[in-house]
Amino acid sequence: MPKTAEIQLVTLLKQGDKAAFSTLYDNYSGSLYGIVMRIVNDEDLAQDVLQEAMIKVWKNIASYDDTKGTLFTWLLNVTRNLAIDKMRYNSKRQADPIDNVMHKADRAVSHNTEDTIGVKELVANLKPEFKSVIAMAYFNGYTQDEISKELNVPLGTVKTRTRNALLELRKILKA
Amino acid sequence: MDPKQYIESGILERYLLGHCTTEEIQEVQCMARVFAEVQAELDAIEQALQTYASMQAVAPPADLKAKILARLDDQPNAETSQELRETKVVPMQSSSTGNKWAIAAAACFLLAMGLGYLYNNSQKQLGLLNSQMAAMQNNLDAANALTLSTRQQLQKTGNMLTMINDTAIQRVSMKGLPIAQNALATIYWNKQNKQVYLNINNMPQPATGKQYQLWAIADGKPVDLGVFDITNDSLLMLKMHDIQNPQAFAVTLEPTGGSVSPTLDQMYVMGAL
Repeated sequence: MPKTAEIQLVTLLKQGDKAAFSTLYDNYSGSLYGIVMRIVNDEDLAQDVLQEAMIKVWKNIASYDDTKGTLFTWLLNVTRNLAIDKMRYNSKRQADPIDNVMHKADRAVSHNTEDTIGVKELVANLKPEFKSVIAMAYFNGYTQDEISKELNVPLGTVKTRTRNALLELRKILKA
Repeated sequence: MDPKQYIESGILERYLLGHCTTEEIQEVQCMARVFAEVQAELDAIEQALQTYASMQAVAPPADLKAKILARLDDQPNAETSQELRETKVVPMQSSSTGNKWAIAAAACFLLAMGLGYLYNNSQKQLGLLNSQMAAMQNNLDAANALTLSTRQQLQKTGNMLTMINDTAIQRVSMKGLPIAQNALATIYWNKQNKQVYLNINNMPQPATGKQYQLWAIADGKPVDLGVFDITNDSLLMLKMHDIQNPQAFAVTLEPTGGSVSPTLDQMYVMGAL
């Protein structure tokens, strides 16, 4: 979504505009649901989380500050935190090894294939160690310590790998 | 801090992935506000992540949207939410955490102002600092040179004192001859190891192509003890050639490089033991 459109959308949302909320949902629910699915690994639970997250967004849109990041980053944080809380509550997270989560996510189907199919193939070429760092941190909400333990690499490696992974990703997306 | 280095540190990536501490989050937000290139980098990373996320998207079941929209009616929106307003205001008033945040925000503002000012003036400041540093370096070099030369002077004075007090050393004062009545030079001859040191107290600078030569008179014959140049260092002890049993010392002016035998009418100073 272009920056100007996003600003307009946020303004409307802050005024309690339901049509704006519908637009928001159409634009971002797929990305958010994909991430929730990665974390909770259960369709019913994922739907609950997305629903709660959306309600929370509606209620708390006033606290969104566009100087601190894009709308999507904020949406992602709200949603991801809810999903993680849910997992902690159900204490399933420990029992769900990262490999399983990653594998599931790789099989997840994209719903807007038109404009991203070429890029998607390119991203598939992203080095596995880069892919896992981005996925674990961004989609699964793992801390650096958790990634370090999970991948069995030193914390310093996680840090450098994070930057290199994103540089690589940006290069691919630009191509 | 240099924005380029800041970007390369990888903190922006960690910030967007939620791996930063509270202090780091504040810092990143400050830096992004102050430096346009930090903000641009942050935007670019965020955009890449968002695109990546959209590629991993999974469509939620079609009926979910209607369910959520139906629930909105029960939920007060941000604008009207009393609860939200309270939770936003109360902690700021009552808890010390609120104060901390207020202080942190103020600190951030000050930091941002400071950084902005520094950055805007950086070229000027840098130029000024560089020239100041160069000047200080020069002063330091000069001071170091002075210290070194002082130390060398002290060393020489020490050497001289040692020689004067050494009972094995015989001091021979060579006084000016009619050709240069005010000339004066001193020989320190060691009776034990036969070493000869020359100290020039006062001798005129020789013309170009000329050099002074020191002679010893031993067994009635002149013996060459070497040529020397005039320096303005009154403490300098020139080591000349050794001599076994001198009866006198003399200095003549000779063509550069010295002569085999002294030019007697060019004798400047002489002194006998």
